[in-house]
Amino acid sequence: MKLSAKKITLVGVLTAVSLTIYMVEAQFPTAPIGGIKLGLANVVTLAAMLFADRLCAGIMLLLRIILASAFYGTLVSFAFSVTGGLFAYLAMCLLINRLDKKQIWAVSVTGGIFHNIGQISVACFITGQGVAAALLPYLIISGIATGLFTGLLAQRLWFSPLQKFKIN
Amino acid sequence: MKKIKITNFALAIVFVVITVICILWIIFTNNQPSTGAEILVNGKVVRRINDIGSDEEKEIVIENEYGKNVIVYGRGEIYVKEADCKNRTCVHFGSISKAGQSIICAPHKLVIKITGSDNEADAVV
Repeated sequence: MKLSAKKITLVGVLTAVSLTIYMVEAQFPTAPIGGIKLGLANVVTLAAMLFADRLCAGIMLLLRIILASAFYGTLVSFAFSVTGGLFAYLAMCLLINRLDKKQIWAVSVTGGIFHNIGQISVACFITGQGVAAALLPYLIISGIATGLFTGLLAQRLWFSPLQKFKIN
Repeated sequence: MKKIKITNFALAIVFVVITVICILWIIFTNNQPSTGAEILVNGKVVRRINDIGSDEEKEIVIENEYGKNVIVYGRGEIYVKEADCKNRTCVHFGSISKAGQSIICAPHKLVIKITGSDNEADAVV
């Protein structure tokens, strides 16, 4: 896989978009159960996979996590983001080209579930306690709900006139 | 790359089944009576609370090299009132009251968990 100038440009633009969405979202108070949020920035990760390729999406995701942590987060929040992001990214990579484009929502739901599994494993690791696993069912349900929402948004984006901007 | 042929309906069924399993999981792990609570820092028990059911609210301050948390308990509930970490997820988390539930403050490596009659089984849910 070679990175063309077009792809590099798209990665840059999408990183900026996703960073903005991520930072705006971080300003809202979190839900009653710790760690639940919409994850709108995932729409941009999916868009990068669809409009460029999986490598571009990975680079963009990593840049976004590093920049967001540098501006706003802590070392602990970086560990959470990077593990959750990596889990979700790998799960979505496996599915994105294997499922139909009309099933992007399912790719995103799987990503949402794995994102939260990743975060729970960090919580278990940091606290040295298995108790964090008790949160897993709540977070899996929230991952399905938020993944469905972001996935449908990404799907809408793909099935729009924007599709002609896909970089081959 | 090999395509997976699966209908939207089948995918929806898979996710619905996962959701139902999770809901059952929540229901079955949540109905044990609590016997007390434990506060752990870095995986070690630093405080054990046996009178979580007492009528008046009591405060515990946990302060160490990771930071400070003010924990309040009483009437069978326990919650974090104050924390000097950045995201304060533990404060927004609210109160817990059932065996097996826990509040985690990751930046301070702090875990508050409610213990049940079947202590060991709860810890590894």
